[in-house]
Amino acid sequence: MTIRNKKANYLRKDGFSVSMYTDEELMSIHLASVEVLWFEGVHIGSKEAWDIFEDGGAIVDRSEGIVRIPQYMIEEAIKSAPSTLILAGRNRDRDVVLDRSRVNFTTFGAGVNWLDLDTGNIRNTSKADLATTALLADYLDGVDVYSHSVTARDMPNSSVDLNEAEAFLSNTTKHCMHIDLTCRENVKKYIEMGATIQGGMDELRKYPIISALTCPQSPLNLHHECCDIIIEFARNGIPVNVLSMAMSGATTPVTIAGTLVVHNCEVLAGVVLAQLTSKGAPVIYGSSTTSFDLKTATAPVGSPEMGILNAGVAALAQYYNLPSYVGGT
Amino acid sequence: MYKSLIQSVVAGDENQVKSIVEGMVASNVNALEIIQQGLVAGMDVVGVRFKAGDMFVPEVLMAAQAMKAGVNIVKPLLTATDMPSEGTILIGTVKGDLHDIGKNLLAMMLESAGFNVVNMGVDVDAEKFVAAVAENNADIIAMSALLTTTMPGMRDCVELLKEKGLQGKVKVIIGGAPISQEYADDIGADGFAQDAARAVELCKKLMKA
Repeated sequence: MTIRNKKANYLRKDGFSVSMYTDEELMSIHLASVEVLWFEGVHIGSKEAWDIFEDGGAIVDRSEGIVRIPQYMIEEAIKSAPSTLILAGRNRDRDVVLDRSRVNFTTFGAGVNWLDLDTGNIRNTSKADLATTALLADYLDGVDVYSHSVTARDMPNSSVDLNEAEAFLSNTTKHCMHIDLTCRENVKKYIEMGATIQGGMDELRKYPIISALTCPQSPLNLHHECCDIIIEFARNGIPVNVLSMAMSGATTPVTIAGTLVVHNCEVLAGVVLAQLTSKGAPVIYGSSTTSFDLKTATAPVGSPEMGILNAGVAALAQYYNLPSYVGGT
Repeated sequence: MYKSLIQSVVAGDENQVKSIVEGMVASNVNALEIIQQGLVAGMDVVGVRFKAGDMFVPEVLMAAQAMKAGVNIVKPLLTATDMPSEGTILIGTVKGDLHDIGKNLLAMMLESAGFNVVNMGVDVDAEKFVAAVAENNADIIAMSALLTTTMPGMRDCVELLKEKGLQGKVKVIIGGAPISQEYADDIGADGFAQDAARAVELCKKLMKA
């Protein structure tokens, strides 16, 4: 057999990529975001957040609720946020590492209707349904992380998010990300649930079996609950996913670049808030951003433009060396 | 005589609408007629086409903008009592909910259809809605929600109206992604519409009743 030894200095590409943006283009989006965050600012709906931003050196207009963030603060926050995170499971073989372009899969939510396989009817989702989704995700090899899939429409409003946490935490040993925490009190209780399972806050911080996402509201608005969730998770050192859902043509400019800039400003504002609350707090750069269907006035999460936007969001997250979580595809 | 005005509204041609209306005003055409037979009539055509899927949201927005520009020219010529109104509608997104794109679209379409619309914004609790009924002499309360967790605010409003003895005096309609006719029936609302165009028709129907 002819001898073909290994080559030295042979560069390889693993996986597949759609290379949509050059570094110059990403830098342009970053600089545009820096401009907007300084000259326009973001609307922040929480007094506590105003205090945190102001103490950190941002300019806060309390009468309007607008916070303007200087460039150095944004870039420091991007640097101090961890580039690699572990979303922990109940045992070590279910821990998932998020860094750079590692591709992991998760379920998403939150659905409100359920196609009942027995009756063939569509009905409201329930806590039992949620438990079923967690169980299923627990079994399927292709699911790395469980994200809260459906809402428990049969549970009382004041505790629906905690009931949902109970349902999924009891049915999977994979990492669980909550999607619908409703208020400060329940955020604290959710974290307490995680700590109880792990045997204390230190253990939870070491192996965070829970995380949550929170959504800024496009354009350029982080409302009260969003700030509360970011602050509480940052304070406790548990990963928080700042996930914006901009809709191009509805809440952001109709162009891809314009949409990416506004989305970026919102997520970065969340990252800055987290870092000012607790330097080094684990954050995830999230996106559900998509196009807006101008015919039907709704946001399709499977449009081609969403694919293009997703590529942009992922590229931005990698540009910042932050872990990312991108919905849709 | 109003054909070209109607066409300009439908085309969303703001400049053309303004110039035609100015011309009519200069010729002493009745202000009310200009609004009802030209501007509102144009938006009625838009409404029909939007519902049929022949016109899309941005076109509707442009038409509404053009129509409003026309109305602004004529408005100063009318006294408060002359100003036509199909009815007064309070519209808002319920407490705890911040989603408002659909709600704002409907507010704009109702205004274009000749209603007096009080847009109460987002995160509006039942007390605020009910207090605004008397303040504005409202005929209809239109509530929107996107989150299942905020839907109960709609029930709260209906209950509060009952408590205050206003049930029946003001109609309640609801809408939003998780809303259904069943939910409307369940809470005792007067109506539900699945999109803005249908909601406008529903309001017109309720005003006639």
